[in-house]
Amino acid sequence: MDIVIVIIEILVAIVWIQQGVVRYVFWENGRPGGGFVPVIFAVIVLAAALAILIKVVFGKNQKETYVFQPSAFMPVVAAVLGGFMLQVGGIGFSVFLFTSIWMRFLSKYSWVKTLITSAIFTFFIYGIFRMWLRVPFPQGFIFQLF
Amino acid sequence: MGNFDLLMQGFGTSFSVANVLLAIAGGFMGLLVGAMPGIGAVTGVALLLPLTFKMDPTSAIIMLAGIYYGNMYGGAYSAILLNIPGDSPAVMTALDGYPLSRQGKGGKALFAANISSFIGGSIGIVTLTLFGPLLAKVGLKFGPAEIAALILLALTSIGWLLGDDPLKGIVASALGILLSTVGMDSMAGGAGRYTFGSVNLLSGFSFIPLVIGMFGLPQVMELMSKKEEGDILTTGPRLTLKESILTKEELKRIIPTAIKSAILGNFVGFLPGAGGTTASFLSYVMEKKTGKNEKEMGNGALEGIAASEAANNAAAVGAFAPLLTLGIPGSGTTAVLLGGLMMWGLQPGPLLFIQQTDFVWGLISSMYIGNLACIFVGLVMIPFLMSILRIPRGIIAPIIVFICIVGAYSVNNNMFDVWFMVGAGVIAFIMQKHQYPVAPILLAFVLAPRFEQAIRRAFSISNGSAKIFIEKPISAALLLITAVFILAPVVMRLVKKVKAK
Repeated sequence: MDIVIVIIEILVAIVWIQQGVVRYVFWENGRPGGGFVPVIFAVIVLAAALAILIKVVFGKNQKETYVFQPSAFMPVVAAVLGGFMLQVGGIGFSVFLFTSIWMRFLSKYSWVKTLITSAIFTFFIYGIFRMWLRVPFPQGFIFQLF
Repeated sequence: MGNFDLLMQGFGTSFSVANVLLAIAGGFMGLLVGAMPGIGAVTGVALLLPLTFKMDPTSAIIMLAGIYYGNMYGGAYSAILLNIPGDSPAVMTALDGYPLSRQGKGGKALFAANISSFIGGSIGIVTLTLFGPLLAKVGLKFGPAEIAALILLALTSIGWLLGDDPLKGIVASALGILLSTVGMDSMAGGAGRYTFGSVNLLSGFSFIPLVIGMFGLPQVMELMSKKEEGDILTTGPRLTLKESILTKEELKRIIPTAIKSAILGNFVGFLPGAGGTTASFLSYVMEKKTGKNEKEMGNGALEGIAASEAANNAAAVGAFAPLLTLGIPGSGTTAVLLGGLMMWGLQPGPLLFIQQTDFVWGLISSMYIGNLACIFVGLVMIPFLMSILRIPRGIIAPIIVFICIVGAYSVNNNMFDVWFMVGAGVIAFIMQKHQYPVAPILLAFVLAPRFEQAIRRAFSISNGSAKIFIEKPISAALLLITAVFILAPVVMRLVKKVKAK
């Protein structure tokens, strides 16, 4: 995985250098162009990434320390679903549903505790962000149908 | 009339029961909004500014001072308790604050943050009272070349000081700078840059979704990965208020740090455009380099919190000097305040101290009241805040994830920021697992646009000659310090190797 990360860094640096020089101009009419700062720091990324690559490939005792755990990515899936819930059901509905599902089925709390906690959290989020700070959250496709 | 007499006159105008209550209310609301990820100081003040529209100017500025200060204090709370910095300077606070919370010392971290914020704010206000107009003029000596050199110093030290592997630190910092270059190029008439045809990228990546994603989401991912190892989601340690009060020894550790950082932070605050993040970062670096607790910093040192918070609050006050004396806002938040002042018919600038003495000294005296109100509200809130640490992880995990979603959305009111936040979270988690520090990405991301603007302006002024950086004594001195920062670790390693042989 270390090598994959370094290769991605190198690719990002190359793209930034190429675009910075060709498209956004490094230096023009005696002054820096839009590519000036990006190119300088992309070169730094490239140099440092190459140094890491050399260390990873030729260094001694370079063992992969991280073991992939699918459960770690569960919150990412939940966040994506939470985002969709927000679009589909609006803020109040999505907060309540999201917290309830997580607490009941992942954290294994009783229905009573789940529903009370979800209601309090929904009230907190809705009260602060929607009512007080007036953040215009999506109305929710479902509610727009009625 | 001397400054002291004018200040007393200001107190006479602003000190009443109603105004003190307004300061406390402002402080409370500011703390609450400042602690909300996604809102931040600028948005917080902007959102709460309308509350003051119907008040008389004196009451309005007193409440505004409370809100402004409350925001500064509040940014640290979510950083310490949830590892989600409420604003950019709080990134440095999270580095030590959250590890302290995990060690069961969250209460002490909050106390240290409150006290350091108070010290920073107090030193800032006293300096503003005594030398405000003078320091604003010194701040004006910092042109593009000096600002570029100052931010370069901050940028170069980021990678070297955070994380175990300097190379990975450098990559992280430079990647943060590259990320910041996405979006409109303000120096080229707002032309798009590195947007790859995406309309969403035209306005660039927003800082708040990035910080929420890189700090908040990986923390829940970490929690969930531990669950599989058999470490079930359990209740956090029960803390008492008594256990959270700082001991005499701990106070002795943080007070000198807070004073040093406040002085540095206050000066950085006087510089137009340098901002609280630069102040908080430079103070952290100074503490790490000169303090006695270098190894502990980053793993839960009270000094780290003291340095960051004192500098941030002192810079927040410092930003008032160029605002009042020159009409130049030193930060985004003071730019919003400038709008408020103009709404009341006041024109900040050199004549303000002469023509509107009542207002100016009323404002300065209200800062004393606002700062006192915030330390009072902050300390009173600690038991309530500590109860957050006692929420079982099975409940706090979905709450943090949803706060991340809501916080990311609230910045620009669009879903793109939510998806960006999720992506940033995944990348940050993978990077952390491979020993890449995440904080440099965020700090570089905040500082880079100011750096780019300053360096390009400096080159434009000098017609492309780099001499501008050497000819000016301030920028030359800052570049020399930067060179020492870069070369010192290399030289130290060489010396060690030679000694070992």
